[in-house]
Amino acid sequence: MKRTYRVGGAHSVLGREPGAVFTAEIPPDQEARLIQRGSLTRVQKDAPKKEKK
Amino acid sequence: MAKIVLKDAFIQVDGTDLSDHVSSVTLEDSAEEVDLTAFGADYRELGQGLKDATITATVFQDFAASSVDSVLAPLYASGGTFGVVVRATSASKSATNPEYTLTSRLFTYSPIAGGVGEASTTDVTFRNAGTAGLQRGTA
Repeated sequence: MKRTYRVGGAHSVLGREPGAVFTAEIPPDQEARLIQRGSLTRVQKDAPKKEKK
Repeated sequence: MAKIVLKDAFIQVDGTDLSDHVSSVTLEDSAEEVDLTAFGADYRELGQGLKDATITATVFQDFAASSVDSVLAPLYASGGTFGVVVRATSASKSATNPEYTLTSRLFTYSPIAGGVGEASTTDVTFRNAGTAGLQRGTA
């Protein structure tokens, strides 16, 4: 499942510079490690607005 | 193809680029020599047996969040597998800048090593932990 992340810390992660926001599908175990050590944070996307009837 | 001097090698461990903390890196892919010599031969006939692969690196220690220790210590503690990616330069992989990938495990980790007045470095050995060995990619 694709998710949106922001690179934290001082090192590039998965080819993205620190501070970069990107969308990728990362294997769950690797995602957990990257988030645990602060290399990545998940970026919550705004939920789509419901159309008014 | 020109001869190269390693000045900008790229090493990524479990997704994190540690190149700016690494001073040396060596990739080794080897096969066991299996003796296939039979009676009547004058020379030994050697075949390739099982292969093995190792990446070794000298890393300047850094205990900052998401840096060297926070990458390596949990990988050693868990004993799980992770990817290591190495290129001769930081440019994208290509036919003239091949990328080597190894699914690895850490069996030793020295978080602090060095003498008085020396930089705190740690020699890290990434051992093969997958069936594919050292993979070479150019595209």
